[in-house]
Amino acid sequence: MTILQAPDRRDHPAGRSLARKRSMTQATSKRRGATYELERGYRRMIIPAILAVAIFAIVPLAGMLALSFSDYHLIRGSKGEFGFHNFARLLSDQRLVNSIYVMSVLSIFGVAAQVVIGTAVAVGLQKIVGKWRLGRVLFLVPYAVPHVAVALIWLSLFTPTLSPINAFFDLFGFTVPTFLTTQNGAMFAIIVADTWTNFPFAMLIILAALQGISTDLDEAAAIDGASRVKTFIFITLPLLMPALLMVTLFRFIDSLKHFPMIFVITKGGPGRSTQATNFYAYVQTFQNSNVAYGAAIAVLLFLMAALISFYVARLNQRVSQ
Amino acid sequence: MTKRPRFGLYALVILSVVISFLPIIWLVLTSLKTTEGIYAWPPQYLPDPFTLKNYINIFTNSPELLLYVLNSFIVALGCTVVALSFGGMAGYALSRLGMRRAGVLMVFILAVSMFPPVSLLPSLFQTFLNLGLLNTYTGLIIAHTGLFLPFTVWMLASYFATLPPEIEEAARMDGMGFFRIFWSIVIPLSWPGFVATGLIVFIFSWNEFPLALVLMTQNAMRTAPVGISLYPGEYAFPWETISTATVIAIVPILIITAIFQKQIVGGLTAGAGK
Repeated sequence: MTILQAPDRRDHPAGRSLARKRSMTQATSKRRGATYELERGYRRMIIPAILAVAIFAIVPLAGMLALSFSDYHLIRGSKGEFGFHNFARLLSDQRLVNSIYVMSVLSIFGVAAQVVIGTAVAVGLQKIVGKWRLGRVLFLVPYAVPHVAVALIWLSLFTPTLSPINAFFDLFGFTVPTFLTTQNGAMFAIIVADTWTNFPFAMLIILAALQGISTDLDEAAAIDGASRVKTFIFITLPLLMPALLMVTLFRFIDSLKHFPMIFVITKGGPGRSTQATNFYAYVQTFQNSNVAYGAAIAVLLFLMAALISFYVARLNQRVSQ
Repeated sequence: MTKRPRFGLYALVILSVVISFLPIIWLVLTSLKTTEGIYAWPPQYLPDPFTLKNYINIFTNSPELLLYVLNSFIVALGCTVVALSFGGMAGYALSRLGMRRAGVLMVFILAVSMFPPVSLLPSLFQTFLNLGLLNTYTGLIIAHTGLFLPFTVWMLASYFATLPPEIEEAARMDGMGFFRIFWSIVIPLSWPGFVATGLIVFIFSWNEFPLALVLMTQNAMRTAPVGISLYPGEYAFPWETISTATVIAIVPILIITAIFQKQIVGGLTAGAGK
């Protein structure tokens, strides 16, 4: 989220002054030496962070690649085969195809719901309460609840024998379908839980962006006789576009990490129908003990995430220019 | 500008507040019901009879829950401290050098936040097994620090960027050393940024699930989210235990959120307002 705001040398005073010092032709060599010394000091401060990330990410990343070419099994160990067999297996794995389908459905519909609802609530809050702080704070509650707890709450709400929702509709003679027994219903349940906890993030970002937009244009449009809906569509929405785009993309990257919801609400079921790709990697690695194949799925997932991130970075750059 | 009443917008906002809170209220109400009350049909909307028995039972029958909460607390606190120290230094360097001169490794640190942590799990598990870091606080603190460091670096860097550089230049003229400037000038001036970032990292670490699930396999080392996620069995669903344990696991987070809401909202939206 804060990635949106890359502190760049060019728009930072210190960076600017450093750059100026560097380009000054009349600068003495002593001064240039001092700048260099300073830069080295800054660089040294990055080292601890690099070490932490190295243990957490670089070593396991290398390990992941190595494992994905091996035949390592948590219980059977390894026979020392090394090659592309895991990737060959990926190509003909129906469960992998299903996992990518599930991941796409969860991400696309979940993010769409979060952005639409988040924007609607942000606009509503902005118009009726302005800068009223409590309005924003109330929505922090669902956002701060751990995903596991969110999943447990919604699991109970989607369990027909426990759910007040079912009881409520019973009063009017409607029977709520049992969601968790079909693939589509189970995916719907996950999307609902995910949207409930994550729309406040979209809302907070959009609201902050709305508050940065001047109301002059709105008022001018109103004087010219434009309706509210038209004002929103033709004036506010285009101004919100950068923020909307960024929220969408960041939520999208985040939604590829779907795990607790699936783990708790559906356990990948009914059957194996809601095993999204990262859950499938977990199942292969830790339930089937097939670490090598799990790593191969992880490599694929990593490549997909990297591709999306690359486009996010590019889009982000284009929008901020 | 016309000032017609905006019933639609009011309805929308009120409805979304209600929908945001009802599930949590339902959870708390459930934890205050007797077992019969929970499984009654039609469901009891208010606990009848009202009871605290579930809370007493959970502390007497499953004392490990308190241990889970304690584990979560140790890990989240450790992760926050380490992430703020490392992230503070790296963020300072990033804000003063700029992306281009901070180097390739910096880009890598920041790219880590992009990919799904689950994709790291197979080899992370293997690495931690070899290093003897499974089931240790140190292990999970390292993992969480790695996971949330990019966020910490970005957030603190954007905070440091708002400090006027003249102060540091003046201190440098006076002959202050590099680290002393950081320690006794930059940090004291930017403590609100550290508070906001630290709170969000604490909440992230407390709530984190996949890494805590895989790297803490012993029951005594589990964190609160992992602990409560394992209460529902394959077929049994002891909802009185689950709802009570869930309330206990989220209460610390809700208290922190309520006290520091201003800093947290400010931190989360830091990137969007500008």
